[in-house]
Amino acid sequence: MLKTYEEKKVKIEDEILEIGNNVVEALELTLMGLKDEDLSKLKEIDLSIKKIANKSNEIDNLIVTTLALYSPEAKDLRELVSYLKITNELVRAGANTKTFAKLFRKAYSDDLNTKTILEYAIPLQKSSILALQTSMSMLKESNSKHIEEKYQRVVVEESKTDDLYAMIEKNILKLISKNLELSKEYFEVLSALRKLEKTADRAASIANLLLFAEKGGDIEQS
Amino acid sequence: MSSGKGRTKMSKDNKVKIKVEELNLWYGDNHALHNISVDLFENKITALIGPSGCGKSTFLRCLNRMNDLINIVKIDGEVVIDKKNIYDKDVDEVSVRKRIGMVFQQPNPFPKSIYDNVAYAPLKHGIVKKGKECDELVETSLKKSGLWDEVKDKLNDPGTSLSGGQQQRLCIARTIAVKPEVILMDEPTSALDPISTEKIEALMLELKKDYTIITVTHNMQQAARVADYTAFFHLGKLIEYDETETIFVNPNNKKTEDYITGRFG
Repeated sequence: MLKTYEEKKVKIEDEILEIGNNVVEALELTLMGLKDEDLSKLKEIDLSIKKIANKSNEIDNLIVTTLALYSPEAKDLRELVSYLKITNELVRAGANTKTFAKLFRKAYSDDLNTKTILEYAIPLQKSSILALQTSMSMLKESNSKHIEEKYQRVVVEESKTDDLYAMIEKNILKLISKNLELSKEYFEVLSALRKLEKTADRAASIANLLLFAEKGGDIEQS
Repeated sequence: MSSGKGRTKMSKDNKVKIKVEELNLWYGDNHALHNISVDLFENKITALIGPSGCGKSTFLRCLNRMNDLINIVKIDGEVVIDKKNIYDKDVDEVSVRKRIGMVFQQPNPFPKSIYDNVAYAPLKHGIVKKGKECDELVETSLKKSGLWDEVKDKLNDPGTSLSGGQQQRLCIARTIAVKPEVILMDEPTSALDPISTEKIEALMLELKKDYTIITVTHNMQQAARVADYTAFFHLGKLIEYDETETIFVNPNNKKTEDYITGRFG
């Protein structure tokens, strides 16, 4: 492929990474807020979904132009098609992160059993971050073996978020049964944490797309 | 753009190298080019695309007066390069062809050595003298055409001993050696394999830093990959001329869209 194509591809990857890093940074800030039990940090999240969506549209247009001008094939084609879908996954991951911060901040209070909530919420948060960070690091990885290893790591972290969320759900339902007056707040906390679990799902989808780009086969929506 | 106007919004940031005004061409009674007006930009690659017989090669040959060699051709209009119409009576067509070099579809090295293929025209035009000066020009031209490393140890071998792709790069080196301002390319890769084609395309992208390149191609992917601007010709008319990205992603004219999507031509 021509140098001009490679330059476009690098530009697309850099822009995708920029969105991904913004979402990861926002997630890290929320983790800090949870660890310190300082929910004001959740307010500091500078994550504009409109900006992410605009950036995603810019990248998508760049991909369409690159497809039209360079007619890539094989791995080059798989990469661009994957990137086109990854931008959408990142918009969804960003929206989940923002919604988590908003809902959690609104519902969380000292009236709730914070110890029980945070016991699994913090590990859930950590796994979500690790899943997204690892999937984004696959983007610039050229070693096929490392890509597969990273994919496996993302799958493991995503699976952990499923289990952790199941534990939280079980524990919170127990708390609700003991204190029905706070059921609304507990359900909102649960709903917020569900968004974190969904963020990890998006990370797994990104990893899946990048594995498809590297190895080929059939593209699968996850 | 039904009457072949090639003045569009993209002109503002670029320097016009060639200004074509109301160009018409007849082969006897056959009106082959209709009122072509277009600005071609300096240090850019412009691709001319269109179905066979649409006039793109005829138009290309107007840019260095190659059509003058055909008796039945009549040309009307202007081709202005650096404020001078090359069809003015006081302009010598040989000097035009020195400023505007051409690379053809089939590689056509002279039956001479690799060295002589490059040195012949500069010596003939008095651009350099035999000896060190000429050696340096040959080396520079071969380096610019990306051929030096492959031929530096066999400069006395015949040009025809090279592969097709290498021969085409030798022809490009030969063109560069006379220090042209513009390089015209008439389907420069249609006789080459994909690897040689990619080398020529990469070379075109390098050469545009120093030269203005106008290329005719039937390979639409090639136009999309290398050209900054693309002009679509049909039945002797310039149908659409714009940035390549616009032509291949959002063409304004239905005929252009039908052509590039393979629906006619």
